[in-house]
Amino acid sequence: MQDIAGCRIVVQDLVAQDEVVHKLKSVFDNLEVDDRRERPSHGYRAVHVILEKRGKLIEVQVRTKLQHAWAELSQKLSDVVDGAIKYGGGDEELVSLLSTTSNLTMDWELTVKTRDHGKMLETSQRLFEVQERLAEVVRRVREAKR
Amino acid sequence: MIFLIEYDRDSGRIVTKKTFSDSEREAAYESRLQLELDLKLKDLKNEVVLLQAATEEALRRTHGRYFKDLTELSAAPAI
Repeated sequence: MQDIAGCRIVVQDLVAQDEVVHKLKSVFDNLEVDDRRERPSHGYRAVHVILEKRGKLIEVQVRTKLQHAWAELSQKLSDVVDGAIKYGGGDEELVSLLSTTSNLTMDWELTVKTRDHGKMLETSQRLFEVQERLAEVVRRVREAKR
Repeated sequence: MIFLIEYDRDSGRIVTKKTFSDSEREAAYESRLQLELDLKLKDLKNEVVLLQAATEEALRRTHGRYFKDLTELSAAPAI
């Protein structure tokens, strides 16, 4: 299906994300839900809801803050560094770090949801380490492009 | 508010930005069409997007890619 309009909703966490999707299901009859959280598309995680209003298709992107931060960074890298990044191509270390960051972000959000404080601390430390390395690699790749 | 943004992907920067009130939807569509035609004539590949948000601050939150540079976006988000 081809959407003709779009809408983006950014919420705090996975619980709020589920609530928004549930509310959309209760308001609109004819909709499709594409949940890309467990099966991300090249690291991109979100829930997309395609609904029909007055015969027109509308895509509603529902993202948590962290999913959104990842998506914005990935898109920006595709803009200014290499268009292939969005589709899992380009600098191997950069793509690998983006993928790891996406996975850790999901792990973090799940630990918040389940209130697993031990794993939360462990995951956040790992996430900060990976993000620091990611920032270094972004600088390297950009310098190489100049 | 409605925002008409022309964005240069290579530089990652906004080239032009026009704002319209919510009641000026038709004018915004017309302006987008004119901008797209101008870019076509100049053979420029800039991205043109029409976005609606309550405020520019709200738009910067949902579509930060247009407004923030790579350094800002690659900084670790507060978790």
